[in-house]
Amino acid sequence: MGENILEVKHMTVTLYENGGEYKVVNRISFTVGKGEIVGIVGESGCGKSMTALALQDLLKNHIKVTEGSMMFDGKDLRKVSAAERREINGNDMTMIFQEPMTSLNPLHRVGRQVGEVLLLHGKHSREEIEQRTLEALEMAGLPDPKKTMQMYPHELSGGMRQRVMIAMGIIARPKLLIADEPTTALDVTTQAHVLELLQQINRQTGTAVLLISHDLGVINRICSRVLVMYAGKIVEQGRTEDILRNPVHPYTKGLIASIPTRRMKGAPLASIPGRVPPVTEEKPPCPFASRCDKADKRCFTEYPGRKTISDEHILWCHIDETKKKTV
Amino acid sequence: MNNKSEEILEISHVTNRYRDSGTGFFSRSKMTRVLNDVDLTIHRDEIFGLVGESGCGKSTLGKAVLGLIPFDGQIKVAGMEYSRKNRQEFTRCVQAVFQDPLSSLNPRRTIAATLEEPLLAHGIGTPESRRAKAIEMLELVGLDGSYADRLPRELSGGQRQRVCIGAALMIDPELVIADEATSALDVSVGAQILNLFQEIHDRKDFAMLFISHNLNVVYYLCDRIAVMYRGSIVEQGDSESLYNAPMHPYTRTLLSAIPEIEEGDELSRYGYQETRRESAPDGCDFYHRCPFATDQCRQRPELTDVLTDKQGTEKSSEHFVRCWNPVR
Repeated sequence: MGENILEVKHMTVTLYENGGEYKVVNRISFTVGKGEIVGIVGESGCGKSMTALALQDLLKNHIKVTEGSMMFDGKDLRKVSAAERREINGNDMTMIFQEPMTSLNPLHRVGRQVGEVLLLHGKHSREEIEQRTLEALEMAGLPDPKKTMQMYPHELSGGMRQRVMIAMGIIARPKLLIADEPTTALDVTTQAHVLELLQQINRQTGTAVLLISHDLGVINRICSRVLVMYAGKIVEQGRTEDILRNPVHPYTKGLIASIPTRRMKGAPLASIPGRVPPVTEEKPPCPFASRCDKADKRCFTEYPGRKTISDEHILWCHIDETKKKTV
Repeated sequence: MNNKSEEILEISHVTNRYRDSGTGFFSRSKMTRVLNDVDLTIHRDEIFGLVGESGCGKSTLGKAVLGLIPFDGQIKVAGMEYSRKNRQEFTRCVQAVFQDPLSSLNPRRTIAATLEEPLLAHGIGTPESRRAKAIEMLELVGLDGSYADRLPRELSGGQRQRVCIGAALMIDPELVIADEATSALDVSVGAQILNLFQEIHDRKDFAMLFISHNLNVVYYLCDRIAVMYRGSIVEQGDSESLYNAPMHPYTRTLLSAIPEIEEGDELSRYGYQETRRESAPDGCDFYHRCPFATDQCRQRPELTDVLTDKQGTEKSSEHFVRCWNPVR
């Protein structure tokens, strides 16, 4: 291998609440190649943000990674010491969040916040830090980096704040950038700029990006591969075109059909009945079984195994529709 | 009564300003215009979409129609203007559905009580008939009688939004204002709500002003669309021609910016591009971002019929654009 910057295997994240144990993320495995942009898509409560937080070791005290391994750049993140982990976080693997206002400190100037990572890792001189901060801000597409450095977060617009967040994310020249809904709070035109920026950074620096979003359109715009998550499980994964054009899992199909597009005008949207089950609810082996119109007895009794449809297109479902067609 | 061309909502020359106190303690306050001479007409039984990005004034317009904020100009709902005296009568005609269903519902009140509230406020019916109507409404919005005695927290987001829609329809209003009604919901649930709007609209007689930032959603649901930018309507037309042949550069920018899931995401649908220049205070609102701006654009264009080049929104026409050089 060696080609992957991140290899997650059988990772389980457990939530301990009110004396109960709930698997928020349930034995998921995936990889992110070097310099690749991979998307995770799913509705709220599917565990996509928990996956990101687990990778960054930012889970709250009552939520823990209880199973599996997370290999980042050849090191298992679950086995490294706390000091090593700190070295990786914010340096080799960074994260940007949805709400730029709450992620920035309102009392510090932008320049200081962006350069803080380098200061903390203590390997750079002041001049070097300032230089790198300017570079990062410029790369993030802020029009006047020198002036922006001296500004406070409240003086910036939403799009500019998100650019500052991105500058913070890339200043240490990470190998992997995790972006958790980076454009959800932004307007569509600003969103277009930010997505373009992420793609540009990826091309220029070779930073791999793990983009988490609820919007398949966003994923389609910049990701080469996508993982579809539902209720803590990956249900389907593959190249973005394959997933969007030839989805196989009933959930992926339903998700795609429920997005209003140009062609859907006049026809009722194929919405999925019911709702995403809350994490505290007991789920059948296939988490989607209770909402799936094709579910049979097996879906409620055994875990669906991994099926390879084509090269990278992988599915976890009992109902094999591709097989039916060929018979 | 079912005259299709009858105007349910008439908005003429509506302007709204607020005092912006400036950033510093001693800086002078100035007036910021949120709505700039907006004209709009919605006919009976029509679903009208209002699109724009945050801060463009679309929600302010919704609030003005509901009589929640002061404004200059005139707004008539079913021929009636809002005043303190006719508040009761006015609110019978216009109802609203907002973005966040949880904060629109009283957490301590049962679903049935929430639904009966508008009837009670208008003194309609007896306790029994109100209850019966609430249950009937629950069924109309895709729930059932078993929800009547539950509390909002026991419901999911989609179910809560169904209740909000039901509450808005209890007194059979002429006009429903839906402000980002599906934006807070998950994709699959949002689709259910969009379907519900369509279904109810087919069965009941009301006009709707559907406010959203998502042009795809608006195109899907609405008969006509207006695009708003910085407090002005920059383009208006029936959904087909506006969506498929947009003429204002801003509408085109907006359309290109939407990430699509269909074949070849059309970042380049209209060659997405943007320029930056000084804005023209008395000129076109889009001047500072417009790739096609000329010197003429330093003057403010009027909303013009694209077929006849006549100014103003006469009822006869279909497509209007506020631009000196619309893309044809």
